[in-house]
Amino acid sequence: MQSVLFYVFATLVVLSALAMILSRNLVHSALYMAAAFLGMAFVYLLLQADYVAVVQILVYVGAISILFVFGIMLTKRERMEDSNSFNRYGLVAAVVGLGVFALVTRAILVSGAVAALQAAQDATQSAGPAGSGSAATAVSGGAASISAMLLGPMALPLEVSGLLLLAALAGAVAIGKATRKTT
Amino acid sequence: MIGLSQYLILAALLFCIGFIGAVVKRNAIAVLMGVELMLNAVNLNLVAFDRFGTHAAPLGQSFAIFIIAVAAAEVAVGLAIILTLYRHRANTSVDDLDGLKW
Repeated sequence: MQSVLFYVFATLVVLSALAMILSRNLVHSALYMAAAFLGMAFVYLLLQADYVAVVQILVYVGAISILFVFGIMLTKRERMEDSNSFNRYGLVAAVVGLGVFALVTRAILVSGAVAALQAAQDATQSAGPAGSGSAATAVSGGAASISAMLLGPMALPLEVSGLLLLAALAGAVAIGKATRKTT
Repeated sequence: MIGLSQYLILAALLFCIGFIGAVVKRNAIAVLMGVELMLNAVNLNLVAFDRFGTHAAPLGQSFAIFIIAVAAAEVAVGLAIILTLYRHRANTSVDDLDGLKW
């Protein structure tokens, strides 16, 4: 059941990403990008990362996609059909990208570390239903443990990321406003 | 059964699709979309290693949350820069934005 769901969502994500790349209409690209992000949220759910999945839907599908649509709207072209054309490096980029993918896939498949992690996971999973310790690992990805993590040992990085968001907000406003004054 | 390597291969595929999209597109907004896809692929790697790792604390998911925050900040500033460029030059093609090249 889980593998069927994984392949369904993985196909959805990959096809949406490919359609995002290949579409020549920028609005269609933004729509396919939102679909790819939504599929990623379902893949996170399959990984038992429910909080990350909800944040993905909130931030990526909700905020970032809308931001992109606003950006497209404010930089409007005369003809939307040809708003997202390719440059002359398409063939080179495809060769390099697929080459990198082949290399990374081979590295993943022959990697001893990945196999060791997988074997350890299989061992705990087969021992899990018998032992009572499986309940503690089952909820380790929940929102409660993430909040304990973020507000405990990672409190300083959390505050710094809040400062970064504030700086980005101020920077975006400053960049947008300064030009309106000069033009 | 779906294991760690399947998730990693999916992330690698998404990263390469995002890379191709960031490199071959003429429109700066489409380039930014490709960069977002690459960030998302890295997030998938982190969450997959968090799920299959031996660490009890959700370190990988916390890192993914931070990366999502940084990505949101990056998109806000990037789109502001693109809008400013559009106001100055009336197009958003990265081929024409070679003012720093000489």
